[in-house]
Amino acid sequence: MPKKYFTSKIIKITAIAAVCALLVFLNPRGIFGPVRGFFLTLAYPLQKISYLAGKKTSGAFSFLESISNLKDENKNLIRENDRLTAEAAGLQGQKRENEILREQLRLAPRDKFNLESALVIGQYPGGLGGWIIIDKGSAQGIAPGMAVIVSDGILVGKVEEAYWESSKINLLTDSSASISALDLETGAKGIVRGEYGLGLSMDMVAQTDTLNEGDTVVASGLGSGIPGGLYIGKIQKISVTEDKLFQKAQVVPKVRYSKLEIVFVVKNSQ
Amino acid sequence: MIQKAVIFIFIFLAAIIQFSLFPALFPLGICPDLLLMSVIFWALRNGFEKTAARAVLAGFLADLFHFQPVGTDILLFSLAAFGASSLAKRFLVSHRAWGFFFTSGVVAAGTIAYAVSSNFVGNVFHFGGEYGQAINSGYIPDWSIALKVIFNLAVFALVSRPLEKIEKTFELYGQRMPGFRK
Repeated sequence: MPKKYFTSKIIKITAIAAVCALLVFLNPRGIFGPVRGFFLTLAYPLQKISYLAGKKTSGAFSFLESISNLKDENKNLIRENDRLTAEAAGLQGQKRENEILREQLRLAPRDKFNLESALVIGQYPGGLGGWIIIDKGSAQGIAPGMAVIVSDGILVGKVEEAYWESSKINLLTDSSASISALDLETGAKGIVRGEYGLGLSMDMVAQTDTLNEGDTVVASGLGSGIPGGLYIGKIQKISVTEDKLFQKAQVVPKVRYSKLEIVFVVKNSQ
Repeated sequence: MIQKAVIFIFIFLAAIIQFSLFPALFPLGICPDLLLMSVIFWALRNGFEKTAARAVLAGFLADLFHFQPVGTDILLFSLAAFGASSLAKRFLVSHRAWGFFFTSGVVAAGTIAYAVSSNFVGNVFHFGGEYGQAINSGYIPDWSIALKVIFNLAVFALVSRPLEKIEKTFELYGQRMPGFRK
Protein backbone atom coordinates (compact mmCIF):
# COMPACT_ATOMS: atom_id res chain seq x y z
CA MET A 1 0.00 0.00 0.00
CA PRO A 2 1.54 3.34 -1.01
CA LYS A 3 2.61 5.51 1.91
CA LYS A 4 0.32 8.46 2.50
CA TYR A 5 2.48 11.62 2.48
CA PHE A 6 -0.20 14.24 2.96
CA THR A 7 -1.64 13.16 6.27
CA SER A 8 -4.06 15.47 8.06
CA LYS A 9 -1.23 16.34 10.45
CA ILE A 10 0.97 17.59 7.60
CA ILE A 11 -1.90 19.49 6.02
CA LYS A 12 -2.75 21.12 9.34
CA ILE A 13 0.81 22.27 10.11
CA THR A 14 1.28 23.52 6.55
CA ALA A 15 -1.94 25.52 6.74
CA ILE A 16 -0.98 27.02 10.11
CA ALA A 17 2.54 27.83 8.89
CA ALA A 18 1.22 29.48 5.69
CA VAL A 19 -1.30 31.67 7.53
CA CYS A 20 1.24 32.65 10.18
CA ALA A 21 3.94 33.39 7.62
CA LEU A 22 1.50 35.68 5.80
CA LEU A 23 0.54 37.43 9.04
CA VAL A 24 4.14 37.83 10.19
CA PHE A 25 5.74 38.99 6.95
CA LEU A 26 2.88 41.14 5.67
CA ASN A 27 2.59 42.41 9.24
CA PRO A 28 -0.75 44.18 8.93
CA ARG A 29 -0.39 46.99 11.43
CA GLY A 30 -3.33 47.90 13.60
CA ILE A 31 -5.57 44.95 12.76
CA PHE A 32 -4.94 43.20 16.06
CA GLY A 33 -4.67 46.44 18.06
CA PRO A 34 -8.26 46.34 19.39
CA VAL A 35 -7.89 42.63 20.21
CA ARG A 36 -4.64 43.32 22.06
CA GLY A 37 -6.34 46.20 23.89
CA PHE A 38 -9.22 43.93 24.92
CA PHE A 39 -6.96 41.21 26.32
CA LEU A 40 -4.72 43.72 28.09
CA THR A 41 -7.76 45.35 29.70
CA LEU A 42 -8.98 41.91 30.77
CA ALA A 43 -5.58 40.94 32.12
CA TYR A 44 -4.81 44.29 33.79
CA PRO A 45 -5.86 43.48 37.42
CA LEU A 46 -4.10 40.09 37.36
CA GLN A 47 -1.01 41.58 35.68
CA LYS A 48 -0.72 44.24 38.36
CA ILE A 49 -1.04 41.72 41.20
CA SER A 50 1.38 39.24 39.56
CA TYR A 51 4.06 41.82 38.84
CA LEU A 52 3.93 43.39 42.30
CA ALA A 53 3.94 39.96 43.94
CA GLY A 54 6.94 39.00 41.83
CA LYS A 55 8.79 42.20 42.76
CA LYS A 56 8.10 41.68 46.47
CA THR A 57 9.31 38.07 46.32
CA SER A 58 12.39 39.09 44.38
CA GLY A 59 13.00 41.87 46.90
CA ALA A 60 12.76 39.44 49.81
CA PHE A 61 15.40 37.19 48.23
CA SER A 62 17.65 40.20 47.57
CA PHE A 63 17.25 41.29 51.18
CA LEU A 64 18.32 37.88 52.47
CA GLU A 65 21.31 38.03 50.16
CA SER A 66 22.30 41.48 51.33
CA ILE A 67 22.24 40.74 55.08
CA SER A 68 25.85 39.61 54.95
CA ASN A 69 26.87 42.93 53.38
CA LEU A 70 24.96 45.20 55.79
CA LYS A 71 27.85 46.02 58.15
CA ASP A 72 30.22 47.17 55.38
CA GLU A 73 27.41 48.97 53.58
CA ASN A 74 26.52 50.86 56.75
CA LYS A 75 30.11 52.02 57.21
CA ASN A 76 30.27 53.20 53.59
CA LEU A 77 26.95 55.02 53.87
CA ILE A 78 28.03 56.95 56.98
CA ARG A 79 31.20 58.05 55.18
CA GLU A 80 29.21 59.02 52.07
CA ASN A 81 26.71 60.97 54.17
CA ASP A 82 29.46 63.06 55.75
CA ARG A 83 30.96 63.82 52.36
CA LEU A 84 27.60 64.81 50.85
CA THR A 85 26.74 67.09 53.75
CA ALA A 86 29.93 69.05 53.12
CA GLU A 87 29.27 69.10 49.36
CA ALA A 88 25.70 70.35 49.82
CA ALA A 89 26.93 73.32 51.77
CA GLY A 90 29.19 74.28 48.89
CA LEU A 91 26.49 73.82 46.23
CA GLN A 92 24.17 76.53 47.51
CA GLY A 93 25.99 79.16 45.52
CA GLN A 94 25.79 77.14 42.34
CA LYS A 95 22.00 76.78 42.65
CA ARG A 96 21.32 80.37 41.63
CA GLU A 97 23.76 80.12 38.72
CA ASN A 98 21.93 76.99 37.53
CA GLU A 99 18.59 78.82 37.49
CA ILE A 100 20.03 81.63 35.41
CA LEU A 101 21.64 79.20 32.95
CA ARG A 102 18.40 77.21 32.56
CA GLU A 103 16.53 80.37 31.68
CA GLN A 104 19.17 81.30 29.17
CA LEU A 105 19.19 77.87 27.52
CA ARG A 106 15.37 77.75 27.62
CA LEU A 107 15.31 74.35 29.36
CA ALA A 108 11.86 73.42 30.65
CA PRO A 109 11.82 73.57 34.45
CA ARG A 110 10.29 70.41 35.83
CA ASP A 111 7.62 72.12 37.89
CA LYS A 112 6.00 73.17 34.61
CA PHE A 113 5.06 69.60 33.67
CA ASN A 114 1.71 67.97 34.22
CA LEU A 115 2.81 64.56 35.48
CA GLU A 116 0.80 61.35 35.84
CA SER A 117 2.40 58.85 38.18
CA ALA A 118 2.17 55.18 37.23
CA LEU A 119 3.22 51.80 38.59
CA VAL A 120 5.14 49.39 36.38
CA ILE A 121 3.07 46.19 36.04
CA GLY A 122 5.00 44.34 33.37
CA GLN A 123 8.27 44.42 31.49
CA TYR A 124 10.06 42.91 28.54
CA PRO A 125 10.86 39.33 29.56
CA GLY A 126 14.42 39.78 28.29
CA GLY A 127 15.02 41.88 31.40
CA LEU A 128 17.61 44.28 30.04
CA GLY A 129 15.25 47.00 28.86
CA GLY A 130 13.05 47.20 25.80
CA TRP A 131 9.61 48.04 27.05
CA ILE A 132 7.54 48.19 30.21
CA ILE A 133 3.81 48.24 30.86
CA ILE A 134 2.33 50.78 33.28
CA ASP A 135 -1.02 50.83 35.05
CA LYS A 136 -2.31 54.03 33.44
CA GLY A 137 -3.81 54.43 29.98
CA SER A 138 -6.11 56.55 27.85
CA ALA A 139 -8.65 56.65 30.69
CA GLN A 140 -6.14 58.85 32.56
CA GLY A 141 -5.27 60.98 29.53
CA ILE A 142 -2.17 59.06 28.42
CA ALA A 143 -1.51 59.17 24.67
CA PRO A 144 1.23 57.79 22.38
CA GLY A 145 4.27 60.03 22.07
CA MET A 146 4.28 61.32 25.64
CA ALA A 147 7.62 61.34 27.48
CA VAL A 148 8.11 59.12 30.51
CA ILE A 149 10.46 60.15 33.32
CA VAL A 150 11.50 59.07 36.79
CA SER A 151 12.42 61.08 39.89
CA ASP A 152 12.91 64.70 38.98
CA GLY A 153 13.34 64.70 35.26
CA ILE A 154 15.37 61.66 34.18
CA LEU A 155 13.99 60.56 30.81
CA VAL A 156 13.49 56.79 30.52
CA GLY A 157 11.28 56.40 27.46
CA LYS A 158 8.18 57.31 25.49
CA VAL A 159 4.59 56.05 25.40
CA GLU A 160 4.27 53.81 22.33
CA GLU A 161 0.75 52.38 22.75
CA ALA A 162 -2.01 53.47 25.11
CA TYR A 163 -4.90 51.17 26.03
CA TRP A 164 -7.79 51.93 28.34
CA GLU A 165 -6.14 51.11 31.68
CA SER A 166 -2.55 50.36 30.68
CA SER A 167 0.15 51.61 28.33
CA LYS A 168 3.26 50.25 26.70
CA ILE A 169 6.36 52.40 27.22
CA ASN A 170 9.28 52.04 24.80
CA LEU A 171 12.42 52.51 26.88
CA LEU A 172 15.38 54.54 25.60
CA THR A 173 17.50 51.37 25.57
CA ASP A 174 15.21 49.68 23.04
CA SER A 175 16.84 49.32 19.61
CA SER A 176 13.98 51.21 17.94
CA ALA A 177 14.22 54.24 20.25
CA SER A 178 15.81 57.48 19.02
CA ILE A 179 15.68 60.88 20.72
CA SER A 180 17.33 64.09 19.61
CA ALA A 181 19.74 65.16 22.33
CA LEU A 182 22.44 67.64 23.17
CA ASP A 183 25.60 67.78 25.26
CA LEU A 184 24.77 70.20 28.08
CA GLU A 185 28.37 71.40 28.52
CA THR A 186 29.37 71.95 24.89
CA GLY A 187 26.03 72.23 23.07
CA ALA A 188 26.89 69.44 20.62
CA LYS A 189 23.72 67.96 19.07
CA GLY A 190 23.12 64.32 18.19
CA ILE A 191 20.67 61.43 18.29
CA VAL A 192 20.54 59.10 21.29
CA ARG A 193 19.66 55.52 20.30
CA GLY A 194 19.09 52.34 22.26
CA GLU A 195 21.43 49.39 21.85
CA TYR A 196 19.37 46.20 22.16
CA GLY A 197 18.55 46.92 25.80
CA LEU A 198 22.22 47.07 26.79
CA GLY A 199 22.79 50.83 26.83
CA LEU A 200 22.61 54.07 24.89
CA SER A 201 24.72 55.70 22.23
CA MET A 202 24.76 59.26 20.95
CA ASP A 203 25.18 59.25 17.17
CA MET A 204 25.32 61.73 14.30
CA VAL A 205 27.40 64.29 16.21
CA ALA A 206 29.25 66.56 13.79
CA GLN A 207 33.05 66.28 13.72
CA THR A 208 33.26 70.03 14.39
CA ASP A 209 31.37 69.68 17.67
CA THR A 210 33.09 68.86 20.95
CA LEU A 211 32.24 65.92 23.16
CA ASN A 212 33.99 65.24 26.47
CA GLU A 213 33.85 62.18 28.69
CA GLY A 214 31.68 62.93 31.70
CA ASP A 215 29.51 65.51 29.90
CA THR A 216 25.80 65.46 30.63
CA VAL A 217 23.40 64.52 27.83
CA VAL A 218 19.85 65.90 27.88
CA ALA A 219 16.89 65.81 25.48
CA SER A 220 17.09 68.75 23.09
CA GLY A 221 13.32 69.10 22.67
CA LEU A 222 13.56 69.08 18.87
CA GLY A 223 11.16 67.09 16.73
CA SER A 224 10.00 64.14 18.82
CA GLY A 225 7.61 65.92 21.17
CA ILE A 226 9.84 65.18 24.15
CA PRO A 227 10.29 68.34 26.25
CA GLY A 228 13.81 69.75 26.23
CA GLY A 229 16.09 69.53 29.23
CA LEU A 230 15.19 66.08 30.46
CA TYR A 231 18.29 64.26 31.72
CA ILE A 232 19.40 61.21 29.73
CA GLY A 233 22.86 60.22 30.95
CA LYS A 234 26.60 60.91 30.93
CA ILE A 235 29.06 60.43 28.08
CA GLN A 236 31.48 57.60 28.72
CA LYS A 237 33.41 56.70 25.59
CA ILE A 238 33.85 58.76 22.41
CA SER A 239 34.67 57.34 19.00
CA VAL A 240 34.33 58.11 15.31
CA THR A 241 31.81 56.33 13.04
CA GLU A 242 33.13 53.89 10.44
CA ASP A 243 32.62 56.36 7.60
CA LYS A 244 34.54 58.99 9.66
CA LEU A 245 31.81 61.56 9.01
CA PHE A 246 30.41 61.78 12.54
CA GLN A 247 31.35 61.27 16.17
CA LYS A 248 29.69 58.70 18.36
CA ALA A 249 29.63 58.36 22.14
CA GLN A 250 28.43 55.76 24.61
CA VAL A 251 25.98 57.27 27.08
CA VAL A 252 25.58 55.77 30.53
CA PRO A 253 22.05 56.17 31.85
CA LYS A 254 21.58 57.03 35.51
CA VAL A 255 18.66 54.64 35.92
CA ARG A 256 18.66 50.83 35.95
CA TYR A 257 15.82 50.05 33.58
CA SER A 258 15.22 46.58 35.00
CA LYS A 259 14.53 48.09 38.44
CA LEU A 260 11.84 50.63 37.49
CA GLU A 261 8.84 50.57 39.81
CA ILE A 262 7.26 54.01 39.58
CA VAL A 263 7.42 56.31 36.54
CA PHE A 264 5.82 59.62 35.58
CA VAL A 265 4.20 60.36 32.23
CA VAL A 266 4.61 63.96 31.05
CA LYS A 267 1.12 64.77 29.86
CA ASN A 268 1.83 68.37 28.85
CA SER A 269 3.73 71.44 29.85
CA GLN A 270 1.75 73.72 32.16
CA MET B 1 -17.20 22.83 26.28
CA ILE B 2 -16.18 22.92 29.93
CA GLN B 3 -12.81 21.39 29.08
CA LYS B 4 -12.24 24.04 26.41
CA ALA B 5 -13.09 26.77 28.90
CA VAL B 6 -10.73 25.32 31.50
CA ILE B 7 -7.91 25.05 28.96
CA PHE B 8 -8.52 28.63 27.79
CA ILE B 9 -8.40 29.93 31.38
CA PHE B 10 -5.21 27.95 32.02
CA ILE B 11 -3.52 29.36 28.92
CA PHE B 12 -4.68 32.92 29.76
CA LEU B 13 -3.34 32.68 33.33
CA ALA B 14 -0.11 31.10 32.09
CA ALA B 15 0.36 34.05 29.70
CA ILE B 16 -0.11 36.54 32.55
CA ILE B 17 2.31 34.62 34.78
CA GLN B 18 4.92 34.41 31.99
CA PHE B 19 4.74 38.09 31.02
CA SER B 20 4.09 39.73 34.40
CA LEU B 21 5.17 37.50 37.28
CA PHE B 22 8.27 35.88 35.79
CA PRO B 23 9.98 39.10 34.54
CA ALA B 24 9.65 40.51 38.08
CA LEU B 25 10.81 37.26 39.71
CA PHE B 26 13.75 36.57 37.40
CA PRO B 27 15.57 39.90 37.18
CA LEU B 28 18.48 38.45 35.18
CA GLY B 29 16.16 38.43 32.21
CA ILE B 30 16.11 34.65 31.80
CA CYS B 31 12.44 33.79 32.21
CA PRO B 32 11.01 30.29 31.86
CA ASP B 33 8.66 29.71 28.90
CA LEU B 34 5.56 28.49 30.71
CA LEU B 35 3.37 28.57 27.60
CA LEU B 36 5.90 26.69 25.47
CA MET B 37 6.31 24.02 28.16
CA SER B 38 2.52 23.57 28.37
CA VAL B 39 2.31 23.18 24.57
CA ILE B 40 5.16 20.63 24.55
CA PHE B 41 3.45 18.68 27.37
CA TRP B 42 0.17 18.51 25.45
CA ALA B 43 1.97 17.54 22.24
CA LEU B 44 3.84 14.70 23.95
CA ARG B 45 0.70 13.46 25.70
CA ASN B 46 -2.07 14.00 23.16
CA GLY B 47 -0.32 14.27 19.80
CA PHE B 48 -0.38 17.16 17.34
CA GLU B 49 -3.98 16.74 16.15
CA LYS B 50 -5.45 17.46 19.58
CA THR B 51 -2.79 20.04 20.50
CA ALA B 52 -2.85 22.23 17.38
CA ALA B 53 -5.69 24.47 18.58
CA ARG B 54 -4.09 24.91 22.00
CA ALA B 55 -0.74 25.74 20.42
CA VAL B 56 -2.40 28.37 18.22
CA LEU B 57 -4.24 29.91 21.20
CA ALA B 58 -1.11 29.91 23.38
CA GLY B 59 0.93 31.46 20.56
CA PHE B 60 -1.77 34.07 19.91
CA LEU B 61 -1.84 35.20 23.55
CA ALA B 62 1.97 35.17 23.70
CA ASP B 63 2.11 37.45 20.65
CA LEU B 64 -0.45 39.82 22.18
CA PHE B 65 1.24 40.08 25.57
CA HIS B 66 4.75 40.17 24.10
CA PHE B 67 3.82 43.06 21.74
CA GLN B 68 5.25 41.27 18.73
CA PRO B 69 3.56 40.73 15.35
CA VAL B 70 0.68 38.28 15.67
CA GLY B 71 1.65 35.01 14.04
CA THR B 72 5.23 34.83 15.34
CA ASP B 73 4.66 32.70 18.39
CA ILE B 74 1.65 30.97 16.81
CA LEU B 75 4.02 29.62 14.13
CA LEU B 76 6.82 28.76 16.58
CA PHE B 77 4.53 27.04 19.10
CA SER B 78 2.78 25.06 16.34
CA LEU B 79 6.13 23.89 14.97
CA ALA B 80 7.25 22.97 18.50
CA ALA B 81 4.06 20.93 19.01
CA PHE B 82 4.47 19.25 15.62
CA GLY B 83 8.12 18.40 16.29
CA ALA B 84 7.50 17.11 19.82
CA SER B 85 4.54 14.93 18.80
CA SER B 86 6.44 13.48 15.79
CA LEU B 87 9.42 12.59 17.97
CA ALA B 88 7.15 11.14 20.69
CA LYS B 89 5.43 8.91 18.14
CA ARG B 90 8.76 7.73 16.80
CA PHE B 91 10.73 7.24 20.04
CA LEU B 92 8.44 6.97 23.07
CA VAL B 93 6.39 4.07 21.71
CA SER B 94 9.41 1.92 20.99
CA HIS B 95 11.57 2.99 23.93
CA ARG B 96 9.26 3.71 26.87
CA ALA B 97 12.01 3.15 29.44
CA TRP B 98 13.82 6.21 28.08
CA GLY B 99 10.76 8.41 28.69
CA PHE B 100 12.38 10.74 31.24
CA PHE B 101 15.52 11.33 29.17
CA PHE B 102 13.55 11.70 25.99
CA THR B 103 11.20 14.27 27.53
CA SER B 104 14.13 16.25 28.95
CA GLY B 105 15.78 16.16 25.52
CA VAL B 106 12.63 17.45 23.84
CA VAL B 107 12.30 20.27 26.40
CA ALA B 108 15.95 21.27 25.95
CA ALA B 109 15.78 21.10 22.15
CA GLY B 110 12.48 23.00 22.12
CA THR B 111 13.92 25.73 24.36
CA ILE B 112 17.01 26.24 22.19
CA ALA B 113 15.07 26.09 18.92
CA TYR B 114 12.50 28.58 20.21
CA ALA B 115 15.19 30.98 21.48
CA VAL B 116 17.09 30.92 18.17
CA SER B 117 13.96 31.19 15.96
CA SER B 118 12.39 33.89 18.10
CA ASN B 119 15.61 35.91 17.97
CA PHE B 120 15.85 35.50 14.19
CA VAL B 121 12.29 36.70 13.63
CA GLY B 122 12.93 39.63 15.99
CA ASN B 123 16.03 40.55 13.98
CA VAL B 124 14.08 40.35 10.71
CA PHE B 125 11.70 43.00 12.01
CA HIS B 126 14.51 45.11 13.41
CA PHE B 127 16.30 45.14 10.07
CA GLY B 128 13.05 45.80 8.21
CA GLY B 129 12.87 42.50 6.39
CA GLU B 130 16.58 42.22 5.48
CA TYR B 131 17.06 38.49 6.03
CA GLY B 132 20.79 38.59 5.27
CA GLN B 133 21.47 41.12 7.98
CA ALA B 134 19.15 39.25 10.33
CA ILE B 135 21.15 36.05 9.81
CA ASN B 136 24.50 37.84 10.14
CA SER B 137 23.57 39.45 13.43
CA GLY B 138 22.06 36.18 14.58
CA TYR B 139 21.94 34.81 18.06
CA ILE B 140 24.59 32.39 19.22
CA PRO B 141 23.36 30.59 22.35
CA ASP B 142 25.60 31.23 25.36
CA TRP B 143 25.58 30.29 29.05
CA SER B 144 22.20 31.96 29.55
CA ILE B 145 20.50 29.38 27.31
CA ALA B 146 21.73 26.59 29.65
CA LEU B 147 20.09 28.41 32.56
CA LYS B 148 16.91 28.83 30.52
CA VAL B 149 16.87 25.07 29.74
CA ILE B 150 17.18 24.32 33.47
CA PHE B 151 14.36 26.76 34.32
CA ASN B 152 12.18 25.27 31.58
CA LEU B 153 12.81 21.72 32.80
CA ALA B 154 11.76 22.79 36.32
CA VAL B 155 8.65 24.55 34.98
CA PHE B 156 7.81 21.51 32.82
CA ALA B 157 8.03 19.26 35.88
CA LEU B 158 5.84 21.67 37.89
CA VAL B 159 3.20 22.19 35.23
CA SER B 160 2.90 18.59 34.01
CA ARG B 161 1.18 17.34 37.16
CA PRO B 162 -1.76 19.78 37.20
CA LEU B 163 -2.16 19.46 33.43
CA GLU B 164 -2.13 15.66 33.68
CA LYS B 165 -4.80 15.88 36.39
CA ILE B 166 -6.96 18.13 34.21
CA GLU B 167 -6.63 15.79 31.22
CA LYS B 168 -7.39 12.68 33.32
CA THR B 169 -10.40 14.36 34.98
CA PHE B 170 -11.99 15.17 31.64
CA GLU B 171 -11.14 11.71 30.24
CA LEU B 172 -12.93 10.19 33.25
CA TYR B 173 -15.97 12.42 32.73
CA GLY B 174 -16.00 11.40 29.09
CA GLN B 175 -16.04 7.72 30.00
CA ARG B 176 -18.59 7.92 32.82
CA MET B 177 -21.01 10.30 31.10
CA PRO B 178 -21.46 9.26 27.48
CA GLY B 179 -23.36 12.46 26.76
CA PHE B 180 -20.56 14.65 28.16
CA ARG B 181 -19.07 16.77 25.43
CA LYS B 182 -15.39 17.69 25.64
